[in-house]
Amino acid sequence: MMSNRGYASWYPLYTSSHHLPAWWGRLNHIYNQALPHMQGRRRLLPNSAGIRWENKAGDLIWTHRDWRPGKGATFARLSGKKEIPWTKPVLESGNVYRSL
Amino acid sequence: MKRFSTGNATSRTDTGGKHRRGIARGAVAAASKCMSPTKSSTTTEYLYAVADHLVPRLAEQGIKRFYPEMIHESDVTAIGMKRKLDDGVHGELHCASVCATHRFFPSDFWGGMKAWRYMADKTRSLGLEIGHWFAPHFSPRAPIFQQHPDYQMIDALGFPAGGGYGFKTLVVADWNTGIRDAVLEDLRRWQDEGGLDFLWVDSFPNMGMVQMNYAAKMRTNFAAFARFLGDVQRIGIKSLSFESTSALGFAQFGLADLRGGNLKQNKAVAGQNDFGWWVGEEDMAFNCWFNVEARQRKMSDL
Repeated sequence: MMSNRGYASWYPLYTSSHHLPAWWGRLNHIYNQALPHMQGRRRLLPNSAGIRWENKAGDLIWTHRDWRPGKGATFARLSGKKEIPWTKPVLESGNVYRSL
Repeated sequence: MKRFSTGNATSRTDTGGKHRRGIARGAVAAASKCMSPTKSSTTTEYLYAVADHLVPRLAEQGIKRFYPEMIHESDVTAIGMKRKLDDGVHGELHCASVCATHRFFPSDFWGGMKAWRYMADKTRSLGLEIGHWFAPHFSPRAPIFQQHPDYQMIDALGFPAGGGYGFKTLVVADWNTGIRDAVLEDLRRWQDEGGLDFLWVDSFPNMGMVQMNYAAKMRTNFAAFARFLGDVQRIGIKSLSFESTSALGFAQFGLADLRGGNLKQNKAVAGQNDFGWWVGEEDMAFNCWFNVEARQRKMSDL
């Protein structure tokens, strides 16, 4: 849902002290980092591999499955704190990438 | 209009009634048991505790927006909550909650504007926006209705419109009346003196939009409440979210998980409040915020 600019609070997964599971907090930080780039046209990748946001500044891709982008494209993976250059040919499932 | 799309992750603490779960449940429950409300160190220190202990934790976990328990003036803060069990069968039946608003302004019961300001400053300093609950209805015991009965929406039977909750519990305001300016002035002061970045508008369709004033030629709230919300943004409370959906802001609603461990949609049950409906339809989640009551899920499913 986050890849589509939606947000889900999973009530049973946090305590009254608001300690979220680690994966949830990680996703929040990645989402905050990705959000400025989630503008423009939104497309579903082939085979439902993820969501691609297309805009003048470049593409922002959430992967739901491993996905092999076209040749020549270069990407950085968002960690939630910084952008990490990505050199592998496949964008791995469950991450967020920004085209450079 | 600023919407959820630019607002990032949001968190809140909840009260009882149709809301649930939250760090202050104990405090609210304690307050609710009182025959009449009594300010205590527990209630007046709530916002300070939230500021010092909860908000930093939320910031660390990437939350960007936050609203606490409803701390405005309500039945709970003004008169407490009574139940049949408290009064006996011949006693007054009075079951309302923090949803029964007296005034949209920080109550002394919860520490007043000073406590709110402390929490708001701390929240903003950590990069979060601070918000509060809002609704188009009030308590039938709200002073403004005592002073101005004509501010109430009147239903087809000639009673104040309770919107299905009953007019002894909640009463919808007619936003075509002077209540609009009175509430706007309170919110302006709240924003100016305490800090207020967004509102979550509860019961927007069922209480705000559906009701008609049969004492005023079946006048609706459609245009008046929309204009009011526009003015809310104009005074600096720029972001609005709504229970259910609205063209005026982003949507927030609960999702039930009706079919246990089955993540695939069961065609026998339709409805967008069913978690299963959204599985495979995530693209429809644009600008929606879900409170999911997932059940029997493995972490890998989620």
